[in-house]
Amino acid sequence: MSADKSLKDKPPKDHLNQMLVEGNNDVHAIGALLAEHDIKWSKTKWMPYIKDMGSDEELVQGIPVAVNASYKRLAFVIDADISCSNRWSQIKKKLESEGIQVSSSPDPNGTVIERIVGKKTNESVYGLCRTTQRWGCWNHFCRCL
Amino acid sequence: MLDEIRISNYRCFKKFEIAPLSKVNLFIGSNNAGKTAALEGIELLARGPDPSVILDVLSRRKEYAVDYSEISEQFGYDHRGLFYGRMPRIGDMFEISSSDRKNLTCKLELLGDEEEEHYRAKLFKPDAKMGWSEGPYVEPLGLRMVSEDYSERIEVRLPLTERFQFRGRGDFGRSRVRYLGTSLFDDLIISILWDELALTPREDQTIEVLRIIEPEVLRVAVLGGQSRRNGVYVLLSDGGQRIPLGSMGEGIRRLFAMALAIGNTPRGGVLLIDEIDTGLHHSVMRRMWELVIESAIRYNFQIFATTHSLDCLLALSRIVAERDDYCAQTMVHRLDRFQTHSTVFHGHELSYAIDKELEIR
Repeated sequence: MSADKSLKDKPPKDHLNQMLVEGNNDVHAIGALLAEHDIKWSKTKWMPYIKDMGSDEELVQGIPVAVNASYKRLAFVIDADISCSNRWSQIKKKLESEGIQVSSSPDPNGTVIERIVGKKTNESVYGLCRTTQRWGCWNHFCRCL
Repeated sequence: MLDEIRISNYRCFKKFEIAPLSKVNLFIGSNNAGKTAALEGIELLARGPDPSVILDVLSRRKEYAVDYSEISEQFGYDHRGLFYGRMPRIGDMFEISSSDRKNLTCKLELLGDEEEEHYRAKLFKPDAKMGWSEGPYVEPLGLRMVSEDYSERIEVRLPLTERFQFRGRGDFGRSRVRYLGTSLFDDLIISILWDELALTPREDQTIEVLRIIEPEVLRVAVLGGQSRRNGVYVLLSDGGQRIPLGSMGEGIRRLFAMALAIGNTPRGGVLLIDEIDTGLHHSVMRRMWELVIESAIRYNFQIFATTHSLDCLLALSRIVAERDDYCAQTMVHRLDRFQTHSTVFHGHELSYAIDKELEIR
């Protein structure tokens, strides 16, 4: 597995499927993990463009804008090493401010929300990885996405 | 100031709401999302029960009815596109309203001959700037326009058939609404608009707009005399000759039209600009937005514009990121006719989206 392998055939920047991550390291790590799970770029399959949002705070702050952007599928990958429940409540608050209802606690496998707006279906995948300290956790997480 | 717009049964909108509105509003969205229709809706509401507004709307889109069954072509107005679904029946209506108790309904009706003559005389009294065209008889369809503003209720009827084809610019100079479409103003309109600005402080502002593209512009004049062919001429600082503006390229002509529209929008009025970026290079977008926003604030009018251009959004986002007062007055609405309301981005959200390269169009 290598970052080069995953990024070589990445989707275009304006792809309708986007995954927002905290930083540049996550772009490479998650790209590599998706490649490892054979989730490859093709025009028809769920392989997102992975976007570096700068930091965890910037990513969380930008959730209200991101969910209203013109994407078909949108994913957030947000680290919650320190306090999973606090992090989730932050995200929940942001989503609810845009009229998106989510469960009171995150699904360990990742939370998937489908929004049907008019004739379009927008599916949002809100992933919250509970810990990156345990071996294999990231692998499991990406497989669930 | 309009703080929201509700549109029902008009063009591509079955039921749609654009809210909240600000002083500067930019509509974005894919092709056929309803951006121009939304501008028209605002124009209809803001101009009230003015029959010429419907004809302006139909004429701009070249929605003329053509009946090839006759030996000679018969032109009236094809009103069907005004109604959601494009298949209106007698009695169908569309409605545009805002929360400040403004409301306009247009109902499709058959007009009786007597009624036709009455409204023809009442509404379309010819004068120097208007004219009539008489033609073969066709079914006397008409629109009943009812406008309610606070306690005032005004009702007029607009025949849509050829015999009532309306030519001229009845109340263009008096309207509180200015609409700049994708095509430039014709000579008559330029002349009317320039007359309003000449020798006023807003004339200087108009010249300032032209200097965005051509810094050497010293003076502007609309010349025509007895030829009745008005033309816009400029005097440059590096030569003594007056030069036709048309010889200087599409961008500067477009900016001149925009400057005329801005300069002629009265206090408390509404300025509508379709595809505001048309003909403009990305390097002048920022200055264009500065002038538009500054004018809207200084002269207290409301602006609604549309764009597809990322450069245009980028320029707007940069300027609102730097100026808190501009940021507070700016909103971007993404329109999607399959939804029931616009998706709103406040000034700071626009800046965030552009900064993070999130696609909001």
